[in-house]
Amino acid sequence: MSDTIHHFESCQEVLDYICGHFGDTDDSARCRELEKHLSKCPDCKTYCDSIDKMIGWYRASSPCFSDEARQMLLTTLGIEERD
Amino acid sequence: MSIEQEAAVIEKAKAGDKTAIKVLVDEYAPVIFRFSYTICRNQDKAEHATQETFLSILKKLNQFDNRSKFSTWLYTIVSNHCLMLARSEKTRRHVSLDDEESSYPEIAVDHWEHNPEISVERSDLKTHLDEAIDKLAPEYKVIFVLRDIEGLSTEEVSNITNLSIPAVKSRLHRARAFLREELAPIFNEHDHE
Repeated sequence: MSDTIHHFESCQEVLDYICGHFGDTDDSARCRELEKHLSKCPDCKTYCDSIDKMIGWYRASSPCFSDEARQMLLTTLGIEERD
Repeated sequence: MSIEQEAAVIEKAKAGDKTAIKVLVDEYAPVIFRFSYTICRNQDKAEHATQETFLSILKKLNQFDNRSKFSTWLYTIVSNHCLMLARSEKTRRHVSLDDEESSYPEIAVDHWEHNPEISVERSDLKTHLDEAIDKLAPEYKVIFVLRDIEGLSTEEVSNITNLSIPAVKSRLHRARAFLREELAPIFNEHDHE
């Protein structure tokens, strides 16, 4: 795998890259370069932070699959709890 | 559950072993429910979608040949089910993001200073989250949920949705930008409280 230094040409390129790799733990040269860009570019950093927060909100807003729903599903599938 | 354990459970479930099916329910029903809920933002509909998806899974389980991850196969089934459900709801109006498939929208950058864990407990905020994602076309919603909420790789999302990787990235970028823009005024308003 290529691990050459990559310099981002523009914030748009950074955002395109973030789009593909957001949330991944990637230690490639490109990812390290992205980190470097983010540390110097408040706009891209703000954008990343806001997307991160938004995703956090959506993740946190999902209710749990209740015991009642689980029981109903098992019944629908013809399975008793003791099976 | 390891891959080997899962493969053994799937083989037993294929043979109709109810204990094995129950193991699959306990492992995957919460995942399917969370996915369905984020798509339809309605608990009853999400529970119904989870049931329908599991019925479908059991019917098609013999077609699963271990060539892909079981979770990828499940996401394919539940994605198709949710898309079919969304398309049948003709009264919904979604914002079209398809105009310029080749280029990304301009991004307005403003500052959000919220703590997500505190914020979502506010019912008004939850309503705004629901309203924003509800405006998103199902084809975009599915990409956003698979990639960002479920944390699948771009390649996996591409396989599940049968879209090219550039198309997945483009839709994801548009979905994120759209949701961010929809939610920005709400968060800015809360920031100043």
